[in-house]
Amino acid sequence: MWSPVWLIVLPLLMAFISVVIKKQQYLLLNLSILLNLAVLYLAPQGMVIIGGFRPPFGISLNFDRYAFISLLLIQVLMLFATFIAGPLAKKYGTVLLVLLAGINGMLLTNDLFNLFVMIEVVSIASFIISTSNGKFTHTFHYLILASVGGVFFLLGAVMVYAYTGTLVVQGLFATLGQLPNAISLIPMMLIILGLAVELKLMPVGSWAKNIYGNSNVLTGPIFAAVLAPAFGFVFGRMMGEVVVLNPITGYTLLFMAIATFVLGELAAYRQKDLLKTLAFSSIAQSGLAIILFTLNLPFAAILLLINNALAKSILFWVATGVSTAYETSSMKGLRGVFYNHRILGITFSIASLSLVGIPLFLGFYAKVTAVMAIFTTGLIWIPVVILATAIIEGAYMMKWLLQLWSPAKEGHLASTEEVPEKREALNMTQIVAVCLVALILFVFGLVPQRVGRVLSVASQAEISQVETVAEGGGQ
Amino acid sequence: MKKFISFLLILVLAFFLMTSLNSSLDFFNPPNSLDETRMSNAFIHKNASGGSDPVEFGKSTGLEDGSANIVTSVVVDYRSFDTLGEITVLFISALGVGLLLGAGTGAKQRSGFILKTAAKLISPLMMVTGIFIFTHGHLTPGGGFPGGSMMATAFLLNYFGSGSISTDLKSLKWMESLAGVFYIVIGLIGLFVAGSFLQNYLPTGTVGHLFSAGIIPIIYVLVGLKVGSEVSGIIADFSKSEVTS
Repeated sequence: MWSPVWLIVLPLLMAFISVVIKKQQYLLLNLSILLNLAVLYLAPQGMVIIGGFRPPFGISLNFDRYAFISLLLIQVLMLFATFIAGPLAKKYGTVLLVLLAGINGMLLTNDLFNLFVMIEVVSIASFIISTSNGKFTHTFHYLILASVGGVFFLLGAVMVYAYTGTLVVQGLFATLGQLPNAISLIPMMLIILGLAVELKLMPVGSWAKNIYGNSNVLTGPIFAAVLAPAFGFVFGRMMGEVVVLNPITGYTLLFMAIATFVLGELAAYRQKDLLKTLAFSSIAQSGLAIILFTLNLPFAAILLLINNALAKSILFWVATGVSTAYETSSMKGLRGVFYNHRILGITFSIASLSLVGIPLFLGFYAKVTAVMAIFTTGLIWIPVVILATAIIEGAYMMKWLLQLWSPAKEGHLASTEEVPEKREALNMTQIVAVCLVALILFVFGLVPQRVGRVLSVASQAEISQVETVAEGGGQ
Repeated sequence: MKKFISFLLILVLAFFLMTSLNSSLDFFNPPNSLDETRMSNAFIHKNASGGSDPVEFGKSTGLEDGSANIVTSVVVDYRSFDTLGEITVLFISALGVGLLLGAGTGAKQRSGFILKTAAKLISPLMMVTGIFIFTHGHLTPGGGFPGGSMMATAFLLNYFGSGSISTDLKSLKWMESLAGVFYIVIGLIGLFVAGSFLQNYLPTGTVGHLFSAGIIPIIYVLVGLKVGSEVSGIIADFSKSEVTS
């Protein structure tokens, strides 16, 4: 009765119903997220068969600790995102329901082709949501890139099926690993490239700067705090269960991820626009998570994904809120804006400090874990790059915090005349919701070890693959 | 220069892809017999859950999957969950078109005498053929997607012939919604009755008979109706958008 299949079916059922009762779609959306949270706690963990045929003949869902953590994060952030977006979420209620069903399917499925179908559902839903930015050219750019990426992923899945005769995700690397390197190279490249578009990796992730950079109170948090971690978790699952890396694919992926991380942070540093800065920062952080998954360090990667999802959701809520209210997102126009919005300023500061990785915040624990874990792989130059880049990140986040808090020149006290005239950025209930997320992030930062203990079970549940790129490259 | 480099990159990628595909998947020399170890073999012999009796058209009864059309057995039985995903893809695409284009008032099309008369004559026939194709999806080639598309084509032809959309669009929405809801409800009954979502719980009958294959024909009729109403909805949305010529 309490099967994890409800997590996919329930939002889908509500979506089909909401087509005819359009007025209630927002209610149905919130109802299905709440029911999903209940199902998450009540459903027993384990493998679930669909259609009555055991794998590999039928499709199955893998509901383990890894899936549980990722699903919990997504449902909670989705709940806050739809609540805060309010009227916009009402307009896109059905789309958000389908998006939720697709993301849950993506995180649960244990079948490579089913994963492709779910990625397709999620991509199309996210194209539609991105149209609410009102910049159709950017959506079209995203649509083309993501469709091509989807085709690559499909071709990779087809080749995997042709070579191995199975599509079951769990333990697929063991079968693929027996194939000669030259044969497994192409499907692995295709699967990675297919996912790379949604993961915003450097050459193919160019859509992200425009979609994130013009986001509103709905699209920003949905893309940065729901879709980004969801695809991160899917990538982690793929790295743990499917992808077999050899020196060529391993180093290509690693260099792509490092380039994304370093160039993303450098680009973010140069921006004079708040939303664009956050866009490039999201691209960069996605690169860091991919570096960690590629080096087979799932624990650090999961920590980082959760920290980023919580921090980015707050940053985007506040940034889109103030930039809509003041009709600008430039540094000049928003100077001293937190003088008027102190509570929003405090939540923004908590989120940005956690994102940068200042001690006492979850981000610090995540980054320290990441850097220490990478040292164990023997690739010492990577932590050096990460630390150097963290300084750039710290620099631009501090610059933004200073500018947003104080309109005065350096060494002078600010006065009310220099501050832009106060306008309502977010209403009271929205502010309370943002504060709640900030509180969660803050509390996580106070008890990082406890969070880490819960997550380490999740990371062990998922990753059965032992080989890392470092070992593969050393051969 | 940028375009030239991209072109070279694509060329290299295509070369790798073709050589790799060609060395492993021999498209031009298919194998003479079925590989007994392949999973697809179980789909053909309908013995994924065990058993090895040969399947005979019109005779075998009570099989794990009762569809005579092997493609249908894979699409609507063994991997029915993927089909649910695919109709969601179409659903969300139609919804997207509606959100972007569906706001206009619609322009009246002008059509000639031949088109007008032929459309009146042909579109009912197409509609019936579409219904035939999806009700026989478990027996003959075709199924919900082609059958539904054919119905939508009849809708399009009717629109071209008459110059305006006479169907009540609300009824299309209801059909789309109800077909999706029933698909899920059928799956959920499987979860409660048989133990897993979308599992067959009706007798599978004799292979090749119209009333056979358990829930497969019911699902294919629902898929047909859903696809038909959704694609018709897309056509209606496109007809509403601005016409520039």
